[in-house]
Amino acid sequence: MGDIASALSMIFIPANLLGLVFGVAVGIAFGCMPGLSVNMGLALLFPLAFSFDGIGGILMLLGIYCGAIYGGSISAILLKTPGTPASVATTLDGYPMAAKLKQPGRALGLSTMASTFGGIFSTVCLILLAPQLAKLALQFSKPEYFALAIFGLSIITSVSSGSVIKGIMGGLIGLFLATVGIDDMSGKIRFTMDTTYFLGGVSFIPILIGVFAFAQVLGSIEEYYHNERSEQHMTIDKVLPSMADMKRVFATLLRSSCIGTFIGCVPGTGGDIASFVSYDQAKRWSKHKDNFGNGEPEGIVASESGNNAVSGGAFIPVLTLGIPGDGATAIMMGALMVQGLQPGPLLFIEKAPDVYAIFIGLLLANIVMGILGFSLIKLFVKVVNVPIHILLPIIIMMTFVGTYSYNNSINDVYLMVASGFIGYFLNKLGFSMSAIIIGIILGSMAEQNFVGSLIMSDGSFSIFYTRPLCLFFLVIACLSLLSPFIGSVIRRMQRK
Amino acid sequence: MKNMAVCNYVISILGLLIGGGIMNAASEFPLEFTVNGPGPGFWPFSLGVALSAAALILFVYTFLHKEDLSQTRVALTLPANRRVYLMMAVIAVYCLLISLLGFYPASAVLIPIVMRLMDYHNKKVMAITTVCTIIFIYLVFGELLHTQMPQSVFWE
Repeated sequence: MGDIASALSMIFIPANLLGLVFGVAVGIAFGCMPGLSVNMGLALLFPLAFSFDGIGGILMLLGIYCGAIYGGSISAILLKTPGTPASVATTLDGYPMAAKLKQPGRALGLSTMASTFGGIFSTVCLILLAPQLAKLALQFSKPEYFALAIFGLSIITSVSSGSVIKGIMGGLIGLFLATVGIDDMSGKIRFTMDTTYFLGGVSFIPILIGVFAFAQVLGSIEEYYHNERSEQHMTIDKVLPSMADMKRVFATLLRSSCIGTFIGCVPGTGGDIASFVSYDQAKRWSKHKDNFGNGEPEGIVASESGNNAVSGGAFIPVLTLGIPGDGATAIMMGALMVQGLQPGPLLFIEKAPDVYAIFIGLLLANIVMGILGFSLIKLFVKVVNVPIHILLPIIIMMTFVGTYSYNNSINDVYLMVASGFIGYFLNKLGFSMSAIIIGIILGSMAEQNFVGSLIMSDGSFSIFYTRPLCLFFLVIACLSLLSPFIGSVIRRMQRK
Repeated sequence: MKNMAVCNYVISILGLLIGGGIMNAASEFPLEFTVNGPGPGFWPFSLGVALSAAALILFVYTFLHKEDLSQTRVALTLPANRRVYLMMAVIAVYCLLISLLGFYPASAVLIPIVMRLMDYHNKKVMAITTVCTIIFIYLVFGELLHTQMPQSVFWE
């Protein structure tokens, strides 16, 4: 109880609460503008997070994370253009309800209610499950942590939508970048090119902002060369869902929230998978199957509660095992590490109040998201129409200011710009930016525990396959790495 | 327009070169196992080997699937790409201008240029966007968060 009281005292500081509300609002705005993403929002405001005292910055990032997933549904419903990949399934029934049935307010209300419910449901699951898993993980030693890091790296194959081999190459480059600077084990200075700038290692934040925000801006400039973004001019009526709608969708809401939470727990998945699986299951179980695709309330609720329920689920492996499930949770994990909160089971013992603050913060972020969603929806609808030629210069400025303000270093700005330029080409060539970031984040954990394990075993590699838990994670990692290849072989055999 | 097969061959060669470079750089550090575990060069050397192997696999994969991959086009020389390259050049100049003129004056130049590059011509909106953005950055970062943005070398 003492930890929870400490957590509450950390959260209920005006500046921190303001940061949370600001984060949710910015997240919704980022989510609802097509071309901007959750990762971009998190990366851009990452440096700002360190202006807050204590946990305040993390609360702001949590707000952005939750808000952006929900925000994607606004443009999905009004423009038929999902703001985030997680909202693609929402367009299937959201847009028909808004455009054909002329009920945009009803569609937005259902999506807001479903997103809030899904987020809160998964946070409750996180609060219940994470400490139990952390207790189990307390038995881990260096070999298990090394195996976990490898398992975390193996999800690169899942987050690499373009090419698995390129994803692995990106992950390896990320791992190498993590070796730059003073080696923690031997004290040797490695790969610094004789500059003092790299002595502390390659700064993670400029690369993060470069590849997730700046490179994406360059991509948007290319994307909008010919395309003028469509605008919506719908009148939003009342947004609170009716009792009839609530009764109709309640079972779907629960089912989809369970599916989303479970999928969120699995590293390498994400909101897009959760929303489609939830949508598919809703259609399968619904009494109104034929209405799916024509503005069915259950369709909207399924995809939105499914994708928002991922938020709590995804934090279970991050907080308990230190494994990020996707780019967004990798950024969140980076933020925790920079704040001195090393994710893993020890976090629950050494920094229990902070863990509870994260739990309560996530819960609050979802509640605030619901309140803002219902009360300010007309404002967010206007944000959807902000012209790209105004938006992009502002985002470019924010990438520079954000990068510089973190360390007051112009070298960081140069590194960000270089990462952005390289990231633009890597994106075009099918590389995954998330893979590089995951490599950088897990790099030192993998190396330190690899070396530590070999010291424990006097140089014998048998330590990695004689310890059951270590072997288990390594086998899972191998299966995860090979799953795309195994999948394609099975599909080929089925075709034959 | 290039096709993905050609791009993959280039990536493979670059991957091999980078992997080789990492191995070469890592070999300057001890690789041997001692009582303190593997030397500081061992892990990065292994990464270099793995990167080279992945690059080789990509090369072989591309060779085996070259017909399929040739169908995938990679836009690198279209007018839209040229606009991006122009933007990159502008950003590079902006980086220099930050040091020369200072952050705020350089930004006052950059924002309208970026808008102009995106085929936007309304000067009033360009001016309002520039002024509002700079005032916002000054108030939030300069005043509220006390971030000292880069000054002009002439001021220093």
